[in-house]
Amino acid sequence: MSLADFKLLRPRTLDEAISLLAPQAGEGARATRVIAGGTDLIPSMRQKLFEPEYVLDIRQIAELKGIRETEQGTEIGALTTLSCIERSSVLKQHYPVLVEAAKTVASPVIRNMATLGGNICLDTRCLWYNQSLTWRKSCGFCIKKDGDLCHVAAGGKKCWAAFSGDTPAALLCLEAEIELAGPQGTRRLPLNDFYTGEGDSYRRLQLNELLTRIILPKATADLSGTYRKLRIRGSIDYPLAGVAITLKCLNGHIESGRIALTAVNPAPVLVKKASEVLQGKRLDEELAELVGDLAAKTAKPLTTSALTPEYRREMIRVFTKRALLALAN
Amino acid sequence: MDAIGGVLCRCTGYRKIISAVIDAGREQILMSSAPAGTAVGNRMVRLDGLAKITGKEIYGADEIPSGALLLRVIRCPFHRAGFQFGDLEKYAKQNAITCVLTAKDVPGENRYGVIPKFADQPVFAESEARFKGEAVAAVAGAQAAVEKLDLTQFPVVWNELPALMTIDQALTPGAPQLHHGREQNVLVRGRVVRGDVDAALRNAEITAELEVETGFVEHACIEPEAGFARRAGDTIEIQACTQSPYMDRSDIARILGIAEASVRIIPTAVGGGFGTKLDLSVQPFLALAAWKLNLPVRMVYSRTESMISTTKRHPARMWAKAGAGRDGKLQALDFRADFNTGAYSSWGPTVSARVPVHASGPYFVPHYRALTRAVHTHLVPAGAFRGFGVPQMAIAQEQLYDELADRVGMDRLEFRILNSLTNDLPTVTGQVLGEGVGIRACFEALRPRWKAARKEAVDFNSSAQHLRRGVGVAGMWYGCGNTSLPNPSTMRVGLKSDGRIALHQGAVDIGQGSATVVTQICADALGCSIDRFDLLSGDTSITPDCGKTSASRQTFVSGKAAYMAGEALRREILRLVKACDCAKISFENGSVEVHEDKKLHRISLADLPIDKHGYVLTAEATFDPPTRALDENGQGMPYAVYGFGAHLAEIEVDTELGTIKVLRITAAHDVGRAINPTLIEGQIEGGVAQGIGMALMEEFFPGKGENLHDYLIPSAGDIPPIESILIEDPSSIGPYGAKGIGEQAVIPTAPAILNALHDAIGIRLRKIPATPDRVRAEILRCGITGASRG
Ligand SMILES: Cc1cc2nc3c(=O)[nH]c(=O)nc-3n(C[C@H](O)[C@H](O)[C@H](O)COP(=O)(O)OP(=O)(O)OC[C@H]3O[C@@H](n4cnc5c(N)ncnc54)[C@H](O)[C@@H]3O)c2cc1C
Repeated sequence: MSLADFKLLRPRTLDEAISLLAPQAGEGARATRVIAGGTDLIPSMRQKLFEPEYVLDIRQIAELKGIRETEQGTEIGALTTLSCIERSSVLKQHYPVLVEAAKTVASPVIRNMATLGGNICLDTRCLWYNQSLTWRKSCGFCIKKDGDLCHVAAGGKKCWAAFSGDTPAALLCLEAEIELAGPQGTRRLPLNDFYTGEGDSYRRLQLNELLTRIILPKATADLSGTYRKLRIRGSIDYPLAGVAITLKCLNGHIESGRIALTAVNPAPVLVKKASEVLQGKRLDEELAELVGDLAAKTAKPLTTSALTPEYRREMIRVFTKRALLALAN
Repeated sequence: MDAIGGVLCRCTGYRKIISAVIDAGREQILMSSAPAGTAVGNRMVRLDGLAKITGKEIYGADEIPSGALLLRVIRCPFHRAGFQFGDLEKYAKQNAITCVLTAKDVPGENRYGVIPKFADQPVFAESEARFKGEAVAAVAGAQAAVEKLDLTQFPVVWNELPALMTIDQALTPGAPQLHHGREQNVLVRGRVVRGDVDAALRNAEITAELEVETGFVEHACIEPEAGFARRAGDTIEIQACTQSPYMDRSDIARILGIAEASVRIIPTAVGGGFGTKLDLSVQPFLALAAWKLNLPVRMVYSRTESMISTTKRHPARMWAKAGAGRDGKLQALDFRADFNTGAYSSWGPTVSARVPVHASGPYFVPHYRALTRAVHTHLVPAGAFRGFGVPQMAIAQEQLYDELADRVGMDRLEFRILNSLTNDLPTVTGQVLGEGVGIRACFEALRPRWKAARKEAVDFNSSAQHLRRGVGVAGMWYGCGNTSLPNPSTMRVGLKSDGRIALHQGAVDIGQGSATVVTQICADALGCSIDRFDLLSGDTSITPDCGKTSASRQTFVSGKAAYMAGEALRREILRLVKACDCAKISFENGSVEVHEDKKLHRISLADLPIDKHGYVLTAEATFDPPTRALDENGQGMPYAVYGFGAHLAEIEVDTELGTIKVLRITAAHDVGRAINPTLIEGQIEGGVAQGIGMALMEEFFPGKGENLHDYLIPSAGDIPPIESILIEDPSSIGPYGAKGIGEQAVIPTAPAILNALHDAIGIRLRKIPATPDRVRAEILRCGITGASRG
């Protein structure tokens, strides 16, 4: 499975990148692809999920790197690697849930390459999609790529490939916003609005746009938080279910709480009800149990990955409950 | 541990990597030399160690002869399909390919197999492909042209046919038959019967019964299959990674329709074999192309190709019932197993034959019946994988004995000790070993940790909520060498005129370190320091036949041949000066000195004539372990020597998550004599890692898993501390008393973990591996208190 030929574009500035991206965007599988760390894109290209004519390497664009504290909060350049995030004292101090989630991604070697932007833009995954061309062809092409079948929900028209990035769950709990740059300038939107909830066209990113930075608001600094991840092995693997939680407590009562899930839906999702239920309450077993059930109801896992969907949904419940109780103590 | 979290290793079990890293920081001095006569028993550095760590070692893909063409294979995308080719010539022309090969291009027999009698696998399928991934054609040409090809566009029309996917489907009357003459798709049956098992079970005071199933397991060698071939006049040379150069040679000769002498196999270093590199992979394609084109041709399997087309561990469906007296004495075992052997025979017959010999475990069982079948399906062939079916079997038998011990009301370890085989008791094939039965010693070595661990677990469980600890034990025995078949090894050792020793050792070192061990043995037998040795390894044109690297036979069989050859050379030297047996020899540059009482003979080597091998003295020795054929009831002497061992697993189960964390493994192995303790520990730790994988996460789904992302092998974080206890109950047959360890090491781990799971929370799974969803579902099904909603 060698890589097919492609032309590599290596802009040095954001403007140059946008100007290169816009005219050469292309279409479908041949569309120009942005490469950051490449830890998701390259394996996918080997599997012929993408066969771009142009690959736009953004790694030389200095303005996309680094972590800055500003008046509004903390800004993280899209190119910041996950290992930088792990080591950042600012983030460790103010946004521990993000650091915790970043640390669970893949392995140390991959985290040296992998970027936060790439983790947010990460393609959705499915056992029937992340496979070689021969494999997909022999099993029948699916909705997400080249076909109209769905192997996990037979007869279905919707693609259920699961969003399986770790950090977006944490970022949702932190009410992160993202900035996108395109030929018309930049736009800013809550991360939550970036995802569509569809497995195939999973993100609202135009082919001529780049994700430039992630903004963590002041308001969510210093929340206590934690991230729990299900995987079979101790390392390397994508989450089979993930739960991020942030809490703000005062005198034993919850002022605000947020719970977000990953790897069990086509998008990372906030458990909206949970925030309402948690607010103003004192955390005990019963409440944790209740919120765990809410989280499990939000999860819609299918057979897109290993382990049964029932099990993965149940783990969302257990993780949520456990994480809440751990934070309460 | 965290730092190497993303690194996959299939051989070491990671622990030795970590200690090596720590030692490197401490500038530990390792032993690369030892005075004459002291190599055996020492932790000598591997002879190939330096080449490995400096990256100089040549693996299958590392050498590319200039001008070599690249070869790629077209494989069937369906479990079963008829097919017809389109215009191949046009395709070749359009794509600038040098040639397309199909079954028509096979000059000899389009058929091979590791056991000649059962050879049934075509190099290229002829009209129907019998498994997803089977080769139907190959293309060879310039690298750029071949690499670029999208092989899904190859001109072939497939006609998908209904496939047999399970043992049951294959056994159904009227099911299509994969191979002529194999009724109901049964490849072979295995049978060992002793005593009257039905009566004994009827009369037994206590019985227990168990059913369990295991899945396909992938070898996941980090090095995929690779190599090249070239033609030199009337000889074909193949350099590739392999465990069995001599078997490769016979098969290639048959495929090309040429004499064996015209085939030269040059094995490279092997990055993991575990049994799968006993079968041919790249070799026949390369040989055909190079022979036909008279050009060098190379190929490297992609991970996908390796996973879909090479052999796997047999899935087993097992049932067993055992009986004991109230005194705890085992009386009877009735055991049945069906193995899904896939589309071609490979090592199916061996698995079916070996398992019935071993299904008693290392215990005395007076009444016994073990029946096995290997059944063909339209799936990837199952072959040899570390233990030839015995690891699967042990999962059934060792769990069953735990059940029996519980019903008797005996401590599970003491039950095993009570029933351990001894030197004087017959095995289930009626063999009385007479010596070297170290199983009891293995169990006894575990006793202190068993007691302590059980107490710790009870203490822990009394206060933990959803965490439960458990301790499990399992025993193992494993016959070294082929089952009731000759398996000789021949070693040649020569004294060079400069005083150095050449050892022609044809035993392929697949990473386990046999080249080092064999040299240690030969050095001590000769009475010469190991650093005088020059190794000539693995090339069928320069080394005599040492058989295949499998069945835990290299230390035992080839090691013994090296011992005999070393002794013979020593005798030759003594004969030159007519010295007595007790004389001492010392080797110098260009001379040899023989000290006898007060006499000193000095032999100037330059004065001696050179023999046909190019040495001043040469000795050759062959060893074939004594065995006797099994009769229709499986009675006889299948192996000369058995290795014994027992593992103790301590685990922690999260009852809410269904996850199992292995906390510690204590492994006691009777190795007869530890020729090189470091290498033995390496084998044990690597075996334990594979055992953990088999118990907890590894299951290959043919046609689905084809990458190491979906197929999980343990990573560093999954391997706990492993304590190895080496027991030396020598066998008078093996070199310095040594037995095998390669396969022995993997067998008891999985059953020990599964017994620990039962100890922790009282469940036994019907389907292995014990993935968290299966464990959790069983917890819910059994309504284990405190765990349903914790
Ligand atoms: C073995 C292995 C294990 C893994 N395990 C995990 C895991 O446990 N958890 C996890 O979350 N991920 C995992 N990954 C996936 C991946 O490593 C991470 O998600 C990583 O953060 C992706 O970042 P990257 O910079 O490498 O992305 P790339 O591969 O460079 O890009 C990923 C996608 O994002 C797009 N993209 C990247 N940056 C931008 C940008 N600035 N603007 C617009 N589009 C952009 C690319 O076009 C591409 O579509 C794993 C990958 C591998 C190979």
